Amino acid sequence: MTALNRPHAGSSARPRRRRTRRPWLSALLVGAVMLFLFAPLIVVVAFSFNSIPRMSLPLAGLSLQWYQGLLEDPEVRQALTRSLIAAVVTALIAGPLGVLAALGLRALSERLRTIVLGAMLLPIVVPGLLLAVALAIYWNGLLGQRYSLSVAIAGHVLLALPFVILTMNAAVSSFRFSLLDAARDLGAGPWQAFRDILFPLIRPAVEGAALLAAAISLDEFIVTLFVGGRDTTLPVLMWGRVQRSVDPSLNALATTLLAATTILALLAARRTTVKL
Amino acid sequence: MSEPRPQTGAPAFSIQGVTRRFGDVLAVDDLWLDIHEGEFFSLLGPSGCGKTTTLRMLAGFETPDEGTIALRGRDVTETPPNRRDTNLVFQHYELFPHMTVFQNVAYGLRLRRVREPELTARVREALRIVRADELADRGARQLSGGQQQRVALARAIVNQPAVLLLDEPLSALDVKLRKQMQLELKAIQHQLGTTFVYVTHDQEEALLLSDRIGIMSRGRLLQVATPRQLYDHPADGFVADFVGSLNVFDGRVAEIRDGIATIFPGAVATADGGPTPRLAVTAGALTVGDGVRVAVRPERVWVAPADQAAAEPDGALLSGTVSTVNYLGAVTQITVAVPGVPPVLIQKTSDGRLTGIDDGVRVRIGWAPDAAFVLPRDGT
Repeated sequence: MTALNRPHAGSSARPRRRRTRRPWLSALLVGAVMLFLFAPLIVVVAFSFNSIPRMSLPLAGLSLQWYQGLLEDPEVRQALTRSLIAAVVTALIAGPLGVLAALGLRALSERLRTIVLGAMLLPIVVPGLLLAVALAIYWNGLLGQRYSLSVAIAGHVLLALPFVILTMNAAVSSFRFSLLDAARDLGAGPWQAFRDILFPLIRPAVEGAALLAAAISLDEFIVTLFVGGRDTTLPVLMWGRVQRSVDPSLNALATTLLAATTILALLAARRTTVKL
Repeated sequence: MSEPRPQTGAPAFSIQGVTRRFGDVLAVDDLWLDIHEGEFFSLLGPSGCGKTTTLRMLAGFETPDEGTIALRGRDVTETPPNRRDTNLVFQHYELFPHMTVFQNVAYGLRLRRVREPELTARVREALRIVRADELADRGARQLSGGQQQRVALARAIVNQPAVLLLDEPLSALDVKLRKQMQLELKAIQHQLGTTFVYVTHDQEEALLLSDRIGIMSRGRLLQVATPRQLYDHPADGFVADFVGSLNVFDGRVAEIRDGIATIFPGAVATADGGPTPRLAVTAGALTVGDGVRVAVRPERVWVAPADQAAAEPDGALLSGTVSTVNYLGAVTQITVAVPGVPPVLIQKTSDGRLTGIDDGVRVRIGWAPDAAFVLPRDGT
């Protein structure tokens, strides 16, 4: 910043603002933010491998006993099964629905498409609590369904669909539709053209969108709590246990969930152009 | 292996009164046209003239608002592209990027349930015809523009369509490659004997390749003729101007003798004491006193320095000043300013006869009466 640091500072030349010579300062700032973001997660992950139940640093030793405990806990196994069912079913419903929605959007005029797409993305900004209450009223109050995992899955699909549609819309928009003309010209009916040309070319995006839907379903809490009834999923189970006491098995449970959603999100991001 | 040739003399395509609108725009306006079996037919015109829309109607991607289209005598007006015995070579090729060259070419045959070993044999044969046999195992994404063009052609001809449709297939190639592919296309068409319908805006390409050319402008078919007829006897000023360059003069018939009309240009100016400027054309149906528009091709006009000129007695004769001389290699283009008429463009083989023709030189120009032709006066 001083004149001494300016190598060719002629009297007429305006002093150029130098980039900071203190990389340690930026490193410190970035580090502080990272610490703030990740400290709670790191603590949870670290303690999940602790060999004693007491949560204090440093760790007493490494062990997998808490994970072992989870596997032997019938409540956890049941909740895990439900969570996996919900994730798979959500992916299988939201994925194809998203493809259909994105293809349907193409048939609309530019103006109408923007409006309809905006409406489809609305659940992203609607507060989760409000959606949960609305789903409860709709399924239970209006349609008379008992609260269950099925109703919760309907909610998961609703929550995942905007992200799936966003992903698929990007993939479909960059697809070269004249390729379908070429297929038609060579003798393919509309279905054959879809099966042989369109689907193989947008398939990575479809997979990515489905994985994203699975990730969203896996750690969904509010809607499941409201309309899941007694069909407890992993997040709801964790919530129940935190209410009672913070015991070390929670760390293992949380770490498991964290790993699963992170892996799903990474796999999804590799397949799609919309990075999250 | 291929379908039987039509037993009757039905044209490959018979287009009857076809009209296609996009909103308020008449893309194709009351088109009547027969395309003969085995011919190389080109639709030629500037962009937006309706030629591509016409081709897309032949392929089945557009449906006419009015009129009918028959393929080998069978009405296909409403038939979707996958049920027509035509194949289209797209302007941007549209190769399937997730398939190899072989899979691209085989796709149409697979849809038709052609089995091995016939499948492989036909794909190899098609690739050989377009001289792309060594590309079979390449991915479609790994091809150069010229290679894509060959594969796109192979993918179409492998199906042995009744008519092959080509939508400006060479327009994305560089000049040298385009010239080479033109010759190959012509050879392939000759070898296969398939009817080709070719859309282009390149008049040289159309003249070189076609047995017959249809000229389109603003949705209308202006003239259908062989390349030579089109060049020598254009139906109107648009056709004449689009197929090659043209000099156009307005005037009035002053005299008719021995079937040759002598015409004085609109504004007669005998400024420099030279001969009276006169135009000449084969008289045909003209009578003395007619207002007439005379046209002549740049290469049919002679030019000579004013003091050396020796005009034919009944030919055209004008005096002027050379304004530009452009040397283009094999030919030289000369523009001559003549008082009272538009600048005259002349094109000559670059040789010794052009000695002394330089900027600013006073010259005589003219042409033999049968070198010129009469255009309708309302022509563009």
